[in-house]
Amino acid sequence: MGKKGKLQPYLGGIVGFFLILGLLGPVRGTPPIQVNQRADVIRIDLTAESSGKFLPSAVKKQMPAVTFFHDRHTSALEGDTCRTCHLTKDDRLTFLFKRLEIGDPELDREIYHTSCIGCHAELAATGKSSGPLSGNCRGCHSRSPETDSSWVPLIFNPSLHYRHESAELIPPDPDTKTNCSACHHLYDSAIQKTSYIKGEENSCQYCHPGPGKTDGRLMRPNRFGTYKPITVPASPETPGLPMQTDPPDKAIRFMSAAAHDACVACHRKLSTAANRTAGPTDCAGCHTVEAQKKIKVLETVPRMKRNQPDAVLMAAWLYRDDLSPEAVSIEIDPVAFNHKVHESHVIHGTSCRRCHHNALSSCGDCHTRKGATQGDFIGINQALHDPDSTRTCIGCHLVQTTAKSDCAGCHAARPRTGFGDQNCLICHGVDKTKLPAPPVDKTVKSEIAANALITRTNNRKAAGTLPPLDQIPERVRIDAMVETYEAVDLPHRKIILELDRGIQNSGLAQTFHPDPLTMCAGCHHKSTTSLKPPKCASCHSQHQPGPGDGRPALMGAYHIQCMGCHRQMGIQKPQATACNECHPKRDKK
Amino acid sequence: MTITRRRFISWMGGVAAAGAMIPNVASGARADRHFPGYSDGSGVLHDITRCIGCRKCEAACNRVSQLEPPDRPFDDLEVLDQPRRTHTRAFTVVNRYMPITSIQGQPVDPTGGAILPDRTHEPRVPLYVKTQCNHCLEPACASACFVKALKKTTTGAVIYDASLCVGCRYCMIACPFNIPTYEYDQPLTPRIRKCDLCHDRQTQGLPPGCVAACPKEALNFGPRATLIDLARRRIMDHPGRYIPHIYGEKEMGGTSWLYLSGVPFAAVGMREDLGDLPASAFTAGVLETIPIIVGVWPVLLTGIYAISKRKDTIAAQEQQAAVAEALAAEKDQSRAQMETLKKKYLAEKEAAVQAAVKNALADTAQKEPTSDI
Repeated sequence: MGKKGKLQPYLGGIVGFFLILGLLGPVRGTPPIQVNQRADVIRIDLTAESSGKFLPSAVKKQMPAVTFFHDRHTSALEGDTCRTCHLTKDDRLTFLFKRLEIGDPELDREIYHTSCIGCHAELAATGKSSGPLSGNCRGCHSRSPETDSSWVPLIFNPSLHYRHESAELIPPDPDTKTNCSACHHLYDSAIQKTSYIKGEENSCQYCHPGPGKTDGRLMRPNRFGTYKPITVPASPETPGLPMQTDPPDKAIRFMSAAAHDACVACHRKLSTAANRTAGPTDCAGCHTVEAQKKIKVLETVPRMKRNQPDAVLMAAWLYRDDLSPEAVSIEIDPVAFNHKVHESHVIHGTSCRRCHHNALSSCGDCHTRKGATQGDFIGINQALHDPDSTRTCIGCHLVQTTAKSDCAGCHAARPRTGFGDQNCLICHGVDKTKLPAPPVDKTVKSEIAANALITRTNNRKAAGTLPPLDQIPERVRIDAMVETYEAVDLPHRKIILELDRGIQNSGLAQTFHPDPLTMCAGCHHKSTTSLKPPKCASCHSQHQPGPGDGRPALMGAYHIQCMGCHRQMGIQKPQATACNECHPKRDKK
Repeated sequence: MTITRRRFISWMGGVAAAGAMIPNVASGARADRHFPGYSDGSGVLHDITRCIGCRKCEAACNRVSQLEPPDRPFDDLEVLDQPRRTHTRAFTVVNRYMPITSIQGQPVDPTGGAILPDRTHEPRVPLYVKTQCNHCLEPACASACFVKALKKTTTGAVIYDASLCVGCRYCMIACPFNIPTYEYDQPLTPRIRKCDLCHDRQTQGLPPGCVAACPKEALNFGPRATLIDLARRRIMDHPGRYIPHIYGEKEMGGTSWLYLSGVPFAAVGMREDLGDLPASAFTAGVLETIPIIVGVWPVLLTGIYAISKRKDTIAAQEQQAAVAEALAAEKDQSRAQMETLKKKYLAEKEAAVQAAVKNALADTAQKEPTSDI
């Protein structure tokens, strides 16, 4: 004890010395650059906006761009309206600062300098804290902005849609008693006005183009402009598309401008009226990952009502009345398409635009048999079957096979499947010879499709997804290569049951694994499905083969398949390098 | 004519300009020509998406190359925490990288999945890359070696002969992949050490040790042409898994080791700035002029020297002759003059004598009349 007591002061001294060193350390080294993340960052860069009005030599002489925080300004202006900084044109808010369009950069600079500094000076005169004043150039024009934009787009998913649809704060339309009219409108070229038409609600972006359709400069958030849509002449072959065939006299605004004008203004108005928060009015309220996580997501969202069918009988030739029986005989059987199920699965997290990317109309309205201007010359066949597009039936289904870890275990290992690898009749399953004679009414077609879907589901349930359990080996001993390691005792049946659980959770998988043995092909690939598939070693040589046919040797084949599937399914243990957990190291005697 | 400094330099300028034309033509021809490798040359395809970083290849290399065991055992995977390079005691090393998980904004699974639209926020997964001699088709090391201690064999391997090596280590500087290492700890018999693609095992029909040991078949051994086909087939079969580039197919004129990756190669520490030309294409032009310089320049310069020297000699001789001639002419002339003068003098003297004799005779005749007769 005595000895310890004597040591303690020394120990204290040593600890103190290191503490001081630790404190000095960061001071002596270069401090790490702290980059703040904000959602409301706007870079005001007139040289970039002027699009060539500044000569490159003149650009060099300009002060660095200004990093502007929108939320900091709106919170300082609390109580004032957006109109403090933004002008209105035809009763609509514009989203440039104190001007209607991007003009001469010299003039624009004057507008910024006079307005910004003027407002700052006014505030400073009243004794409040304010932004940089005249002379403090670098207060705004900083060369190395220490703030990075953390802006993320807000996806207006079906849950958010339904919350707005059912919100009590929003005043309902007096005629229809719904909230739809609060946002949805259509442009009527006859009266040159927008108005709400029941049953004609569309996605905003059908008319208000999003960033994808514009040039790069306007892709940045919060730099808004106006946009004139490309007009498509109507033709007898292309009905529909009222919005595009009627070019509005006024320029249609970008989605970002339209959304901010509509959403933010409505949130502000309703908040003031109801004296409670109706919705975010600042940048960070919608455009940060944190804020989006706080948005309540409804577990069950009722279907959107837009006169859509539950089931559709699909085949391009069905919509032509002029086909002779001979012509019909070479056409493929129609598809019974389950629109309702696709709505709930496909649009969850996205929107109807996942499939109806340009209008809420039939695919064939734009994608004609031969291809037409309004369908970018993509014919109906390609529009539904192209495996390389994520928007076609096959393309989207292929994405699903690797998007979920339940599916990716088997499917990620499979070579790319093209159109030729598809089983046509899984989808094209309605016998065309049993259809009533044309013309067939739309509702009748829908009924036929619905019945076909029920029959298919019943057949599938009857077939089951697994062979009888007693025919599935419970454990498989892999001992063909015992040398450095012992044999592997593979829990064969457990693996199959786990994979089957994934299939049970997915209607897509059940539809496309029609045979109870389909799943076996995940591992027992390359041969027709069978309860007695060839052994791995039958094809994969134990010895190092030549690389000629690309077939791995037995050791490689096992490891590639087991580890690949584990990785894809997110099975963390055993780790790929934990050899002993699958096959214990062998004691060599 | 004499050689002035100015004149010499102007001549040399002309010669240099003419000389410069020759290597340009030569190197142009060299760059056009492509050596596709020996037809039956072997190589290894390293599929980075398959590698799990188990270090079995390192262990096998150590064993078959009969190297000293490392300080830390091969099953110690914490070694991977530090980036390593090849060493005299490790001809191959595996390094771990934590690269990006998206290509052009599209999320990808770098270990071999497809595009993962729903898993964009997945934590970054480690990738492992094996590093060793790439056995270039036209090796920079061999082209830098002036004693032919490094040689590309028809089997594909770049092999080393310590008995020829002079220890200049030019190969280490030449190698774009930083592979050759030097036994600095051997003061008397230092050698260059590097992977030789298990050249001896190949001659016995065995694959390289690392390939045989790889449990995941991330390494495939075979004829290089077949491996390129295999790599292309993998890219076609799994377009989401790989970036469409076979590293080593063209880099530095092509290497016997080929690589497939799911992320850009720069993200896993591989150089993408090497270009498609072999190292020798950059030096061949210069090196080919050396025989020309060695053979032609001495003759040329000696010739120029001899010609100018001869001109001087001739000029000097002509001058001497002229001087001699002039001197001789002068002599003749003066001699003739002397003769004339002499003749004149003698004539004058004769005349004077005769006149004197005449005068004396006349005097005598006057004094004595002619009585005697």
